[in-house]
Amino acid sequence: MASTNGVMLQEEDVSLLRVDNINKTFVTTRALRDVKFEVEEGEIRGLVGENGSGKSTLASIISGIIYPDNGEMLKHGKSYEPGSLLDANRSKISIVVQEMATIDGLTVAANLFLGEEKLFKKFGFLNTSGMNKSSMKVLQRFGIENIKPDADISFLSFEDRKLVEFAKALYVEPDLLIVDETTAALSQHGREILFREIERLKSKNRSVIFISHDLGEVIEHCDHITIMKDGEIVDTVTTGSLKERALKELMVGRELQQSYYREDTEAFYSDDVVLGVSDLTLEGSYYNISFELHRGEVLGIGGLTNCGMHLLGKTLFGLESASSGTIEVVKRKKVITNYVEAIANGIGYLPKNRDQEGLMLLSSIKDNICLPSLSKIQRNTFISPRKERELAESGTRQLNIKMSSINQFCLYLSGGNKQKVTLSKWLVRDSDILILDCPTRGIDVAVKASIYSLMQELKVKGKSIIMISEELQELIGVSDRIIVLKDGRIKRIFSRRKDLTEEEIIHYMI
Amino acid sequence: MRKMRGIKKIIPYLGLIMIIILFSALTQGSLITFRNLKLIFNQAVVLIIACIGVTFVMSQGSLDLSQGSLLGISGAMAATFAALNTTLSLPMALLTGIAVGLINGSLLAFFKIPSFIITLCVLFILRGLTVIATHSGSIPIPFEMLELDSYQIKVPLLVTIIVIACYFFNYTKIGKSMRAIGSGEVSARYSGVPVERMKILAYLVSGVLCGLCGWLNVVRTGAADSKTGLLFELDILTALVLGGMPLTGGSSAKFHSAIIGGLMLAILSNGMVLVGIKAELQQAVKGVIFLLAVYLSFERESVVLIK
Ligand SMILES: Nc1ncnc2c1ncn2[C@@H]1O[C@H](COP(=O)(O)OP(=O)(O)OP(=O)(O)O)[C@@H](O)[C@H]1O
Ligand SMILES: [Mg+2]
Repeated sequence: MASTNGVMLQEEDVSLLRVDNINKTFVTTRALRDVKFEVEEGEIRGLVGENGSGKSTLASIISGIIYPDNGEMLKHGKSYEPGSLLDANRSKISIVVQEMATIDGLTVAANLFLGEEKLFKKFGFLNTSGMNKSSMKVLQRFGIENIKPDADISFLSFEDRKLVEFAKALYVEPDLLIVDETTAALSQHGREILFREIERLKSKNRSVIFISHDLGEVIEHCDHITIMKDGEIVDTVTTGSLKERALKELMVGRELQQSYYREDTEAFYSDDVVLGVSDLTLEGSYYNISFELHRGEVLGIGGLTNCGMHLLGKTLFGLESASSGTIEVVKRKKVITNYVEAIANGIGYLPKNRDQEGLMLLSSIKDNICLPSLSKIQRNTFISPRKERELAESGTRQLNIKMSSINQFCLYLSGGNKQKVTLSKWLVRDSDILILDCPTRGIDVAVKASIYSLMQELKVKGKSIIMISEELQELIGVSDRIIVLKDGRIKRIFSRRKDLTEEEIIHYMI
Repeated sequence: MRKMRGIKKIIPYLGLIMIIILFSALTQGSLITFRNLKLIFNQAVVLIIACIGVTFVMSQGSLDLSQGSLLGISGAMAATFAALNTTLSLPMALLTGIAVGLINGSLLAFFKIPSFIITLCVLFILRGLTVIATHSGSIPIPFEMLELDSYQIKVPLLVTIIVIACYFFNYTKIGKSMRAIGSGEVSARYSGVPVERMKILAYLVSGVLCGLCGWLNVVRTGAADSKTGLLFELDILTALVLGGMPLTGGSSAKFHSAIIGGLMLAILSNGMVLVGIKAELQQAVKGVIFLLAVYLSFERESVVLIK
């Protein structure tokens, strides 16, 4: 039946996946325009672009989560029209999405085998222990040791939840794996697992589409890099000897100024202490933490993801209560015991887990931005809609949030733009002390640079910032001092200096 | 999709108009005679006031099912104390409402049990207390109190409550914080909303307004009965859902739901009586309408469960 013509086609030049002239419009936003895209067998393809340029949209279409308005896709030269994510999985395409995709209240095993429960059904009953055993095997196969299959997933850390999703995507044995902005949620250990598995797929002639804002990482691991802008594909380049700076400029479409981080090489802040933390301990998480935060200081806190720094951040904002120790806002002689007091005393907090803790997804951008500032804009209990609008508009303008209007639900924003909304909440409130937990997670290079310069402005204005981060470059780049935590204890405090290196810090982290 | 939203917004109004037209036709106009309109108003006052209270609770994504028995017990308290001194009756009814609101709210805030279970239990308990307080019968109120059942009191009262509640719901930190809890409790907390305080406050408002309804009801009927308020909580829920209130609460909770919904249900109940539908069947019809309203208004995008 197969004509010679058909056989010819099946030979050499048939790519693994071919996307042809795909368009996608959401209400008024044109997310994708005539996208043409090809992935060959055995290649790791980077996909980069500014926030809201359409990367996740393209990834969702390839993996069957949403449908294109028109255009077609071919897999191994045959028409490929996935109706759902499971459908795509059956065609050996799987994805780790940018947002959290595991379901609260189910166990790790149940999440892992969601939609595949029939494998473990006997006489209509679910064989839970069988499912747990298989999960254990799957997790171990990918080198994930510390996660128990029968644990309720809502008790897992953000990173571990991502790893479960990753295992789920690998379990499909995909020909094509899409990893959307996942590394930003992972610590060093998680990243190692991720890249090891990616290389393993490549060695078996499978392919990976890798989406990330960490351009260094993209250059290191990808064979080719496709650059998107405003829903269009601008270029595809071979990595070779490509430099990060060149890639950045391709991405932003203009030349970037030299400095990315701040330029001064010495710590610089006032002697006034604004926040005094003494002997703070939370059993099982961190111990005897004491430090002082000064006016106009950027204090970095770094360490491995489970070193206790994320919980420390929550405690400083009064969301967790420490077993012992105190947190004092010095100027007002006020000891912070809960989050309401913390806000009232000028502290703001940007959580790491933005979809669960940072945003109300089913509320407008305006409502989200204004919520912490309501007491500031009210006059005798009255909150004028005009003031709300103005506040939200100033916030979205400052961070250049890509949206259709301030009344748009946050659910429909791209990942990076969601992050900008969470940050904007605290910027418009004009807090004296900002605690930022991974503030630039999922944010593109251009906006990252503007956030760093914004932090610099705040610093000059006499605000103080505590920045918790897993990115050492970022810590070194913007902090006056860096506290390094290991297993919940302060190992070392570095002051800003010219020749501070990542290696030096890592030495105290592990 | 945006268009869909726009249409959804006007569904309650369309529903109200349709119900008025339908029953006017079925009753050959006797629905909209002046005498009958007064009747509808009297029914609607109590319903709307109670709905306003529950609006605050539902905007947080919670439910208050204790209202039926609260109407009973606050009426019983009002009548019992009216026998001692008529000026005591209103404060006692309100205090009962406040107490019950505080209990509901505190149980929800501190024990983290789903609100419909808590308030359902409270519903049972209060019904029991109502039966005890009324000695399984009814307590009449002093004759002179019947004068209080006048439009000169009720119209200004209703208008005042609507204006104040609408102000707090739409233009203050309280209303906005409550809706924020409905949209995402964790994120609201992380943005500084005092979640526990707000939950208690919502049930307090709901309780005190229902206490007021209990008093209004006693004054109107002249007695507190052991069966007063049976299934009232479901009337409120139906009314609110008909008015477009989402069961999940959050940013799409609108204040007008209480008024439109209350009016709709009052007209519906009245119309069914006029048309001559049997009392037993009326309940069934309401049930079907409730189901239909939930089906039409359910936001499938929000997979959040009712807390
Ligand atoms: N469900 C949706 N409804 C409406 N608009 C949407 C929806 N999903 C995405 N968009 C819009 O489409 C555009 C592209 O979004 P997309 O998520 O693909 O960006 P992205 O490149 O992944 O960005 P990021 O780097 O921030 O993750 C954005 O402007 C976004 O607001
Ligand atoms: Mg994205």
